[in-house]
Amino acid sequence: MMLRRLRIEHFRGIERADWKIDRRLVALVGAGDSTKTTLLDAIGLVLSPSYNPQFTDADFYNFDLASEIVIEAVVTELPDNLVKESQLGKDRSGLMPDGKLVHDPVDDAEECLVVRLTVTPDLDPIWEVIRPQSDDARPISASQRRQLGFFRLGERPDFHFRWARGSALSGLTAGGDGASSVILDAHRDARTAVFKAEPNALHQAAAAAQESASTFGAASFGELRPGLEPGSSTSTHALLLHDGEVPLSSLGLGTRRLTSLAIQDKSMKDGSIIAIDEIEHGLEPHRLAQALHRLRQRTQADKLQIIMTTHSPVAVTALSAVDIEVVHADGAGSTSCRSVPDDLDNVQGALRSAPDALLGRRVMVMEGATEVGVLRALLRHWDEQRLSAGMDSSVATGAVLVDGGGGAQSLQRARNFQCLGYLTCALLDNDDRGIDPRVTSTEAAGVAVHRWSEGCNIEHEIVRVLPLAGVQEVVDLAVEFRGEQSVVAAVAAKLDGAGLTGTQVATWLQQALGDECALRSAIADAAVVKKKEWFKRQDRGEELAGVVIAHWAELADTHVMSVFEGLRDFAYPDAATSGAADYVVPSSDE
Amino acid sequence: MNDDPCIEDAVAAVLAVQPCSVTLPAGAGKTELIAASVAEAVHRGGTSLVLTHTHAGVDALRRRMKKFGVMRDRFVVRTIDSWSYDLIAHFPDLAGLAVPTIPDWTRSTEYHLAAARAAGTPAVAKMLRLSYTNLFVDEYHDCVLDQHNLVLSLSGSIPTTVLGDPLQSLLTFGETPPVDWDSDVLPNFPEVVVDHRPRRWEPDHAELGQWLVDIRTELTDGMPISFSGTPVRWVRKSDDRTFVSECMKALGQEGTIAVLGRFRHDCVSAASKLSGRYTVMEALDEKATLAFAAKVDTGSGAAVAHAVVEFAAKCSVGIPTHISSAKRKRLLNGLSFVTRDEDLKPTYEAVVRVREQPTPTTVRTAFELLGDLQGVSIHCREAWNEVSRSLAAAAADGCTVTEALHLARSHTRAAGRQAAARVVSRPLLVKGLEYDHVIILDPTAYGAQELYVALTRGSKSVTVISDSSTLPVARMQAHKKSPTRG
Repeated sequence: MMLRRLRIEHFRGIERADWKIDRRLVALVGAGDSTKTTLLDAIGLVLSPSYNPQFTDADFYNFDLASEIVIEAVVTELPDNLVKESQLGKDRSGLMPDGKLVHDPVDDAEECLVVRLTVTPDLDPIWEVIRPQSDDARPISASQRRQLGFFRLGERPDFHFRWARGSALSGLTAGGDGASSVILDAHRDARTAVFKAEPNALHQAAAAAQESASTFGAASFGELRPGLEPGSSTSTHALLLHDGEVPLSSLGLGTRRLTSLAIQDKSMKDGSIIAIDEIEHGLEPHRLAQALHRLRQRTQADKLQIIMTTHSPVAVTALSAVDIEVVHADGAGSTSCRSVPDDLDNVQGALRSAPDALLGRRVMVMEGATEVGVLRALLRHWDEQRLSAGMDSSVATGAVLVDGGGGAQSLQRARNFQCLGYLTCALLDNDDRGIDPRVTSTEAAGVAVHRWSEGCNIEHEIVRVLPLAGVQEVVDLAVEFRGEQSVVAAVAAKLDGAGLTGTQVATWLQQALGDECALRSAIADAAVVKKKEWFKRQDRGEELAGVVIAHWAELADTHVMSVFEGLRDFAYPDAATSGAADYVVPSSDE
Repeated sequence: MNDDPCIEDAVAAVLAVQPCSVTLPAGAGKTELIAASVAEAVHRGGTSLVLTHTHAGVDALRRRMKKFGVMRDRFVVRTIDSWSYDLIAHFPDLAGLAVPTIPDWTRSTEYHLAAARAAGTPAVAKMLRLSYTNLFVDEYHDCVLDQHNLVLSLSGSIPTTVLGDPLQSLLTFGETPPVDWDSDVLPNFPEVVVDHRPRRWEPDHAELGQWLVDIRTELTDGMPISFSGTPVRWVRKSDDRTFVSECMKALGQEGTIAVLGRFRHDCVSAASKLSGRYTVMEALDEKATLAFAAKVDTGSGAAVAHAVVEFAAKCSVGIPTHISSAKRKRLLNGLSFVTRDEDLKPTYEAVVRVREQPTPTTVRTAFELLGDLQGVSIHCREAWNEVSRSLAAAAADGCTVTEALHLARSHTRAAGRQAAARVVSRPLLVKGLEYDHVIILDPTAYGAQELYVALTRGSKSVTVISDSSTLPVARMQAHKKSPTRG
């Protein structure tokens, strides 16, 4: 079975969504309220084998009971039994290679069933198989829906390793009913054991009861004694898998979830559609990676489809770009799912380098580690200011920093994120004319590109405009990171070998014959000497930002300020423009 | 499952080689063989599709399945037409035909072609393969060529057995001829020969049963049939009313009776002489009724009023004594239409109201009053009821009488008709049906197949009225240009 399309109207946070799927392994990622889990819930309900899942007014979009909830699923690779004429064989439709649905399963199309769940305002669910381009509809029963093989991991994590009625483990048991006789035999043995027990306090109590009963003339008992009620139990729920002496129910959550998944997978012979909410739940990174690896193998081998959500950077890293669907809710009820296009250059690199960016909403692609550090510290600083003013922090606005890897690569990554529907900005050096054309095209794709002054990188831009006290603090940090000797030698080298002593900028200025401009240049150049960079680490970038923050007021009206303010405005959209503005319609040139 | 070694062998033979055809005489247990084969197929883990022609046939097959205790979800019994319509209604693109919600059976040929087309597509072939292990088609001699092509298409996906009897193959005037057994059936469905005996006449009328088997050779080979010294009761035709006394005498017997003529008009004429004791059986597409409905829908007041009286008169005996032909002419010509007889006045007034205001409601009132007149006996009861119900439906639903009539006929097709116990009918309408007693009015009018069908309808007695106890040779009716018959 394979879910090929999901259409939703008016369900919970989704006023409308239309998602086309052509993958067997699908990982839904997106920001916290992007309605990923609602998508899984919708799949679960339309394919539910349950007779009467409970609906409430809260399941209606905006609590608006004027419209019905409609969830429509297109399922291919149908089980043989459903194709029979007596089942739904005459209710099949066709799915064309271009994704269009047609009324009949014509030769060029894949046969499919279009299952529609409608929930009326009086909360009655109706399941039907419908045919496109017509009013044809006929009911699909719960047992027919069961054959579509949908299950959701984690709804009852312990249920499937018990021999309970309808559990996957019972399904795996040949003959189906071995568990009942085991339970009954166990009951009988226990009953015998109680009868055979050595005389104890229970027997004395029984004797007392018998004596008293005889004085009342209740009955003439032979011998009253303690005994176990005969086992009437047809419930085999208490019978479950053990590892040695240990019941599986007492193991860790991750183990139980994976075991449950493994048993269910094994029991579905005709294929199935498995939904997993937060695959990483309860798993350490290595087991998560192993589980994903196994799931991919299974989806390649069999009629199996797995649709999961994840918030885990580890999972994103372990997946292929094509496995990932980015979910966006536009805040006005429309949810879209964008699969990562497999012809997009370098996508894999973009995702691997910044897995958490996929979990955010506003992606800020930085030139390199220094810029990531500086911006992290600035965001923290702005967050504090805003929180004390009762405004959203960058966590709430979903701003995420990404190391772009420099130059052209940063531009490519920024563009990739923009194409996936993320609002994206980039911060670039301005010392390589070769990338100027690509800057223009990236801006045309919708990315807000920020650059330093011509010829500058961040160290230049900052050292250029800081007051001397600030420059001193920069040098002090460099000495702390690199040692006095290294720093002094590097600066001196950039001053044509002028003799410098100590680490006081004021002294250096005298020794540089008062040429402040040349000294600032030398310091900035020294900061970026290959292999001896002062700040090319995120933590050091953060320290550098501390200097900027300390001299904030003095930097007013400089280009560095306008760049930082531009980035700040990106990270914290005004309340008035948040919502719809958080979502980009990806450009069509992808 | 059953203690009949004969049928067990037949079942084994039928299931051993498929596709195949089986020829069985009337009353030799064809339905029984199908049910037993389906039961055995189920026993082997299979599921069967059984197709036949009439709803009466569907009922009979379902009842027999029940007798054999076949699980309901392991077989499907449908008419070829309804099954085809159902298929193409679901798959208009595969069938290349869009059909209305209510089937239009005048287009049945198109339906069969479309169904055959759909059955050949991979999607439907897959459904058939997954759904059924066996296909049985009953009364195969009644299949027209396009139905035969549909079955051929189905047999590409399901192992198929067709059952029938070329000697019961009747030509319906003006319609597509049925399959030719030698040139159409046998090359595609090789014959499997099974043992059989005339079960329908056992145990009390075995002699009649055997005689009916024996005459098959004479009929096929064009030899004359003689009734002397046979289990058939032969009555010399002394005059045109010989049959009246025979039919009236027969009323004293228990059970159902079919009096068999050849055409509708001679059946109606015979029934009119039998004082309404026998009902004329009508074809499901009888045109006289349709023509009347069309007249009510479109005619002027005078024409409708005249048609109502004429139609009522044709369905019954006795109306002309109350409304003379001169008066009927005055009705048509718009002249005054009155009577002095107080008992007749309500009827006359109702007819005049039709002339003033021809609606289904006024027509129905007049029609019912005509039927209730003193001394009137209705022998075309089926036609009468059909018209009466259609008028009521048209009045209630605001549709035309023709529409109501079509709807009623569709319903009858689906639900099956209520067979009267004593009918005047024709071989074409009673084929596949069974009566206790049969009276044949004029056997010399029949071709060989009609004669065989007529003779084999009675399970207790067969009465033949003719000039001589030996009939002239009855020719096999060749339905096609086939040179082998005739």
